[in-house]
This record gives sequence, C-alpha cells and structure tokens, in this order.
Amino acid sequence: MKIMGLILCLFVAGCDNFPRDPEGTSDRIAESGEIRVGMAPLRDARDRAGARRLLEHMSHESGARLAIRADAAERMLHDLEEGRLDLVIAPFHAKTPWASMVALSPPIVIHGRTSKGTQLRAAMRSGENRWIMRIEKAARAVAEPGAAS
Amino acid sequence: MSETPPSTVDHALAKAKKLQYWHIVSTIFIVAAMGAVMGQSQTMKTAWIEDMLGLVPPIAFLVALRLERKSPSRRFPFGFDRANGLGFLVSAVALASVGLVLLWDAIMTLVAAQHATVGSIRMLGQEFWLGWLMLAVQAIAILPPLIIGRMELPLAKTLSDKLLHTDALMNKANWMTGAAGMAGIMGLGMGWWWADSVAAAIISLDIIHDGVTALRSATAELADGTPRALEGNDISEDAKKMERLLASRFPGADIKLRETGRLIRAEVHGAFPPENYSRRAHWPGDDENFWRLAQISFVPPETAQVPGKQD
Repeated sequence: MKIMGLILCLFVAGCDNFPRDPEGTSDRIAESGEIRVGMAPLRDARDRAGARRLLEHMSHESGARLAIRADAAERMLHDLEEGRLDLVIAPFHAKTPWASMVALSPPIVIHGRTSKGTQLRAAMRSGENRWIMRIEKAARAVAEPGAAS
Repeated sequence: MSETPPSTVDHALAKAKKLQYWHIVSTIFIVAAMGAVMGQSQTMKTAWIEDMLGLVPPIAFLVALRLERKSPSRRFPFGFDRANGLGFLVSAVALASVGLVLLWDAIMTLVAAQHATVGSIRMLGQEFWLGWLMLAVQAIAILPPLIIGRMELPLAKTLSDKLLHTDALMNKANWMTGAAGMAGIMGLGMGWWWADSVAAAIISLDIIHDGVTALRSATAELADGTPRALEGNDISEDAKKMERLLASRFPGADIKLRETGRLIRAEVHGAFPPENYSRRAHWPGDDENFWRLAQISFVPPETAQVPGKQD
C-alpha cells in the first residue's frame, strides 16, 4: 500500500504539466524563447496561407520568436528526429512513411482526398507529447474548414 | 466420458461454458475499443495483440467440450476425451506466445529507444490528451479478465481441467498486461519513454513462466506422462496416491498412469484383475472425484496362465 501511495503521490505531483516531453522540447522553448521551425517548399498559396496561420498562432500563443529555416523536407525531418528543429511544416502524402518516424499534426490544408493528394501538416519529434499536443491544438485551430476533422 | 460425472461437475461445466462465451464477447469489445485508441504506445499495441491471442483458450475450450461429447466412432474408437488435452496444448502455446511477443516488443522498443507518441484528441469541443482516454479504456479492459479469471479458477479445480486453468492464467496475463499498460501510459505522461517497455518486460517474464509450465504439462499429457497437477508440472497428488495404492495391491506389477483430458487411466502390467473387481475400490481420492478414473487395464505377464484355466 505504501508503494501504491508513493506512486499516486508522484503521479498527482506530475499532473500539473501532464504529459511531459522526454527530451524537454517545451521546457527548452520556454527557456530560450525560440521555436526552431523548418519550412519545406510549399505547393501553392493555400499552403503558404495555412503555414502562416499556424506560425502566427504558435508565436502568439507561446510568445516565442520563430527561427525559420527553409530547406528540403527530408533533410529537415532528419534534423527534427535528432532534435535540431522543433517543428517542420511540409506537404505530406496521406500514406507518408514519415508518419511512423515523426509525429504529424492533423492536416491544415488538404489537396485532394486521394492517395496522390497532399496534406499540409506540421511534424514534431516523436514522443514529445506535450509539445505535440500544443501543435495539434494549434493545427486544428488554424486548419481550413473540414481539413482537421 | 467413461464415467457419468456427478451433477456438480455438470453444473461446473455449464458454468464454465457460459463464462467462456462471456470471455469471448468481452474480448471482442475490448479489442475493438483498444484498437481505436492505442496510438503508438507499444504496450497498448502488445496488450491488443495479447487480447486477440486471449481468444484462443476459450475457443479451444468450447470446441473441445463439443468434441468430448461426441460418441466414439469407427474412426475414433476411443472417443474424444483427449480433445481437452489438445486444447490445453494449443492454449499453452498461445499463453507462452503472448509472453514472448510482449518481451520481444519491449526489448526492441528499449534497444531502438523509440519514444512513443501519444497525442491529443478533440471530443465535445475539448482537447484531451489521448493518454487519459487510453487509461480509461485500459481500466475498463482489465475488469473482465480479472473477474472471469477469478471465477474460472474454482471451476478448473472442480473439473480438474487444465485447459480452463490455462484460460484463467491467460486472463491473469491479460489484466496484468493491462495494468502494466496503464503504468506505461502514466510513465509516458511523466516523460519516461522507457516506462512503457520496462513495465511490459517485467510482466512478460511472469507470463512466459506460466506459459512454459503449461506447455510442459500439456506435452506430458499428450506423451502419456503420469498425470500432472492442475498448477505446475509436478505429478498430481491423486496420481501419486493411486500409484501407491495399486503398487500395494499388486506387488511386483508395473503401474502406469496417464491422463486423457480430465480423465485418468491406469495400467497394471504383470498382474491379473482381482476377483470381484471394482474400479471404485481402486480410487484413492475423494468420492466426488471418482468420475476422473476412467479405466484400469490389466496386462498379465506373458508367460503366465490365466487363473482358473488348466492346460
């Protein structure tokens, strides 16, 4: 019973910022005041508008400045996995293999619902669950109507 | 079965059958609910696979029960008593597999240092961490195996049914993995990416132990080994008592016991059946379990004369 009590205390004590990021992405952003964003080549004006809405929302919500890097999506996704970026905004195919390697937000813009269509999404480092939740919430808030449902 | 079982056994069998149907229905619901919320949590995925494998023992039990009731035929002149033993073997393999799958996944996740993503879900206009939903589903999911498993244990004892006992172990494995899954999800919430897998690995060792013990006992049964205890691979107390009784009544004879499903069969090699032979007189256990002694066969010595016959 003592052990159960201890576990419960630990659990309740940890609930104030539940879930936490194993690699501390949210804490690092709060400390540094900077979100490191990777911006892949976007498809059209709809994608650009969607990406802009997400970044404005994140900047407003967190009060952090954005350090934006434009590069090829694949290179930046590797950097995201390694923790050198906090967020990558890119168009992904519906069945992208990256879905099992990074965490993808709900779609912000959808170009066609077939397998050949693309979806503008934000990618986050796997397992950084607090950070992922924040971006998912932001993506739902700025998504085109019907895109994130 | 050779001996008509007493009504308590009939009653226990009917209850066990009903429990198995409940087990199957509850498992199907749990598999569907967990499939909907499991996300990337490895323990949740493994618990899901385990729940699917958990369907094997109740299905094996129901199939075996149906077969056992069939009359002997020309193709199967000894009847189908051993269907229960076959089901026991299949269930033991499923139980051991559950443990091995769980351990393998946990080790692979730890080695690859995979950080499980558990994101958010929007419900009723609110954003929730999916982990809360997983915890709720897991908390509900561990109740049926916990309750059904505990109800099965006394029935397995009344019926001396190792297949039913293995199903109770499978239920134990299921609720323990569910509890480990909950600990893992809470760990993920705390930022401990390894918690999920460490909890699963610890639980898997217990399941593998139960599975291997059941597998050894099931193999012994199918290889005509001396009847094993319900729990574990040791020779059962009834078998030990019967060996001693037969050895004292037929000195010098070779006593061989084996088990076919729930039934015990004895062979006395090198002796003739006594006059006024009564099977019941050779059963050393409780009267209520006499139904288990299906047969005592006597194999006379090859050079012996049949008593009472002259050349």
